[in-house]
Amino acid sequence: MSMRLPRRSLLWVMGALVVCTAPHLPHLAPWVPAVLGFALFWRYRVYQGRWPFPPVAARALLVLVSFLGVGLQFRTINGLDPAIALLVIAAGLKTLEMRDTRDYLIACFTGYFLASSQVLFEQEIQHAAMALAGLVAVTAALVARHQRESARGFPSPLLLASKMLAQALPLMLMLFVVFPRIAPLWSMPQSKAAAKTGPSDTLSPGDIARLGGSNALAFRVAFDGAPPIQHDLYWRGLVLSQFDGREWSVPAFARMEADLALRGLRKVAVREPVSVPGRESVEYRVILEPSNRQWAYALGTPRAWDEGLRIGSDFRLISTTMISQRKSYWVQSDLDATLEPELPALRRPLELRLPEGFNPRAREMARQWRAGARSDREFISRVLAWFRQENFFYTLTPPLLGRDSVDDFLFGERRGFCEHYASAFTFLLRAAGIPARVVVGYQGGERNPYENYLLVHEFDAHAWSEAWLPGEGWVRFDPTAAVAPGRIESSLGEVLSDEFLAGSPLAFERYRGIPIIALVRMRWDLLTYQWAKLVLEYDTERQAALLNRMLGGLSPARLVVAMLVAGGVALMLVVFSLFGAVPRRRHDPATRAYLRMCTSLAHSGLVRLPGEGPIDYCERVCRERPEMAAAVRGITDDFLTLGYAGTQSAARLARLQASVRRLRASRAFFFSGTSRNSST
Amino acid sequence: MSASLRARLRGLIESRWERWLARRVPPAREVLLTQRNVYIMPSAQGYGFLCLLLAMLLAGMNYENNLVFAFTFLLGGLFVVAVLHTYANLAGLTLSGAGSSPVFAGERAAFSLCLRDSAARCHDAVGIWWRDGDEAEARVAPGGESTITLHLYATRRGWFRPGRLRVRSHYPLGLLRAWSWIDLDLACLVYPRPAASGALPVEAGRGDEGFATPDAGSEDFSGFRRYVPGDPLRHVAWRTLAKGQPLQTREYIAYADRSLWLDWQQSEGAGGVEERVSLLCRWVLELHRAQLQFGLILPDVRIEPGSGDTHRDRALTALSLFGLPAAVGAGAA
Repeated sequence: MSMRLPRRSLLWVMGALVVCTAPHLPHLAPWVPAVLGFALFWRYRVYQGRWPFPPVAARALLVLVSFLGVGLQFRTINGLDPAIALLVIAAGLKTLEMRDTRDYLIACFTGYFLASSQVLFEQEIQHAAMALAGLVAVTAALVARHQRESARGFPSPLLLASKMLAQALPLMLMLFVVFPRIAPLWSMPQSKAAAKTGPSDTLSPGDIARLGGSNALAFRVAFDGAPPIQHDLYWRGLVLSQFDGREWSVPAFARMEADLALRGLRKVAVREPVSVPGRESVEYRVILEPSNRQWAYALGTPRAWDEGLRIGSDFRLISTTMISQRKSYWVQSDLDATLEPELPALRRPLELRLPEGFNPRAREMARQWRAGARSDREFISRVLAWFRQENFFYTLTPPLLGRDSVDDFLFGERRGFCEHYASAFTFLLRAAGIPARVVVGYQGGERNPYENYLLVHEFDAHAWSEAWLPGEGWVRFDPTAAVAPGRIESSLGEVLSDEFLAGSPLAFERYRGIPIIALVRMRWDLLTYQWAKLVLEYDTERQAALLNRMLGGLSPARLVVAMLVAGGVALMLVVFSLFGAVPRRRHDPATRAYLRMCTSLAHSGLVRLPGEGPIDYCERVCRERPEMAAAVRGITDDFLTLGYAGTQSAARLARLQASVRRLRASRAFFFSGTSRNSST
Repeated sequence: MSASLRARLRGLIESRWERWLARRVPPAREVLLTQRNVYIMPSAQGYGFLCLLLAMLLAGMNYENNLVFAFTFLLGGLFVVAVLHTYANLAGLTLSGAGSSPVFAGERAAFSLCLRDSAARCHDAVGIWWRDGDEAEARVAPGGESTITLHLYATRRGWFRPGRLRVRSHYPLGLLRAWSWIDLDLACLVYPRPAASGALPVEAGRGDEGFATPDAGSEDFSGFRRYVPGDPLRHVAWRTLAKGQPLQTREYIAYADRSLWLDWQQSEGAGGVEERVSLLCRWVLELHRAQLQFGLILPDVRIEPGSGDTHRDRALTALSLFGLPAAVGAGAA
């Protein structure tokens, strides 16, 4: 291998680096790809012969400035995002000193790493496809480096690279299926750049409405059996018990529980949550999209759940890791359990506390109404009826509220989204002396008709209330249902069809009423779902199940044999395509006829020896089988005349072919001859 | 002492290795590369690639990311597939020597090699070289052939045998190195290095003075002429005289009287054997350049006077091989 780089290969490696870096653009600061672009441009000018290589001092300066930039931007170089930024910069600068094979290969290997590392950020089908494109491009660059460029067409490296990767696919599949999924050896830095999505642990007016404008997917749910009816689909995520007059937030003990879960403690609940089991139970698997938050969503009261989740003292599920990648978990929930039949005396004040000096009108009204009601239930019914009868509007674009937000809302604007209703409702209950809290999560979900699972989007985000009633525990009340029953019974898109996703006119979800769009949307989502289920969620458990099913029992011996067979078959295909392609020489008709005769004679025991010419062979046949002498001599004669004397005679060829046919037709005769021969 | 021991050990290992190779890949005029004589190992870059795969595997484990696993396995599969491709790039190639022309010692000997495909495959970027020579790279189209020329410094006169050729290929990815050691039984005649200086000997005498062995010339008999008094008696054709013809002289070399003789003895002053051979070589070239006729007498060889390129080559060949064991030259092309 000569050290000089083929000229054309430079274009290949530069193109490959662009393909490998492009998917990283969303999570790179713009100046990082700019450095790469600058380096590639300079290298291209060098390639054209217009500019010289940059001097060492200039390269050193570039390196220094870039590293400083990364350090200043991320405050550390130990992390996934700075690592990717540094790799991109390093690849770019490497091209500026790329003169020999070593530099070339370093650039290529960096490309490989960049291409594959993008799935650490996003794992959808399209991201995998982009990463694959990067791998193909880098492989093509490697081929371009090692082939003699003058000899073949420009796209030939790409063709060979694609072919080789295609040949590697069966091996990849086999390894993917059987390779043991070991638990992480050490913890890795996670991406910090990824935005947090979904509800946060505080709630101010307008927060949920903002989520209502997003058509991103929050999670998918697959039920074992029939899913519950639509208005039971309250996905609890966060319980907000603390109110400062404007904002609801998670209390301190709940934050502590989340921290303890992150540290991997088995029991995190400050107080063991107590509940009385219900009769109606469902089991389901939730596949949560990355939210970079810690909370997991579940229906009703979780009874049993996967490793990797913990339960808090307010019955919410907490993940033991930040959900920076798609997370799948299984839960069994009771839909009608009684949560906390006894409210501990210590907790009661927390669930009743209201800041002094806010919303005096609402406070006053609550006190009066409670005084006039015989029970907590009666008071609550009156409040809900008031919401229903008064002129309240359900809207995604609520007006801004003043300092006394509940008063402003209840007695002024009366236009709000679910968090306004939940907040005001909970406020009224607390003011009336009923322990109450706001719950944030999602409500509803869209069924994919092609497979039994639900899609829950960000616009399904919802806030409702829970009130503690003696003997009943925490009971769910949804004031939004009183104002806009359609939101709970069907979906947001049905109720607010005008406002729904008004900010994103291209969102598929807006047009889901159109059949063809609904079809494409659901088909694509099904593909994504199956991709997640089959590929991304493939873990030790599924591996064992799959291998068990495929091999009919799991044992090391079976596994080894299966691997050898599968790998062997995969490689044999490659071997065949490489070595089996020696074309059989296509003989001319005369030779074909002659060879047919030889085969025929071979069957009757007269095999033509290697290196034996037609004349010698003919004479031997004549000696050993005088009865065939005439025929064979005629055929040999014609064959030699046609083949070697250079005469093209159709008549002679026809005669040759006819003679061979006759000879072969009388094979029975030869066979009898053979048997007679061999018996003597 | 340990150094000499090490040297001896290395010598032992090398000779063993050479013997093993000679058994496994015996010298032949034409060698077909097959699984018998092609070896394959990861290249330095290939080991780098395997390190990359290890890093990706660790990332896949620690991030519990199945797609990273998938890409790691895809690249691992690519490596395995590349083994076959790299092997296929060499296998099915037939190499044979396509001749060489003599050179003077100290010059670069040129060997032409013919690479022919016999597997209906393309062989791209096949590198061929000797351990201490330049590398040449060839590409052979399916069913085609290609000729390349390799150069090696010839240091000593005589038959120059460059030894085992290295054939290798990194194609297509550079991650693997397939190679073979083959011996195409190549040899090139190396003329002595002409001495830098040394005037022609004055006594590089005329014609008959040089005759040392009178009978040796009998093959170069060219005809009869009328006897002139003074002709050596042993050249008189007595047999024709007996038949009644006039006295005639057998004429041996028509131009003997105008030719020069270069004799081994004349170079005595030059020093050792090599220096003397070099000096004679210089004289041969000078006389050839002057288009003069000359003969050459070495202790074991005698070349009758003549001129022209062929004659010069004969003289130079005799000088090249002078005093060397004959076995070395046997079997050479």
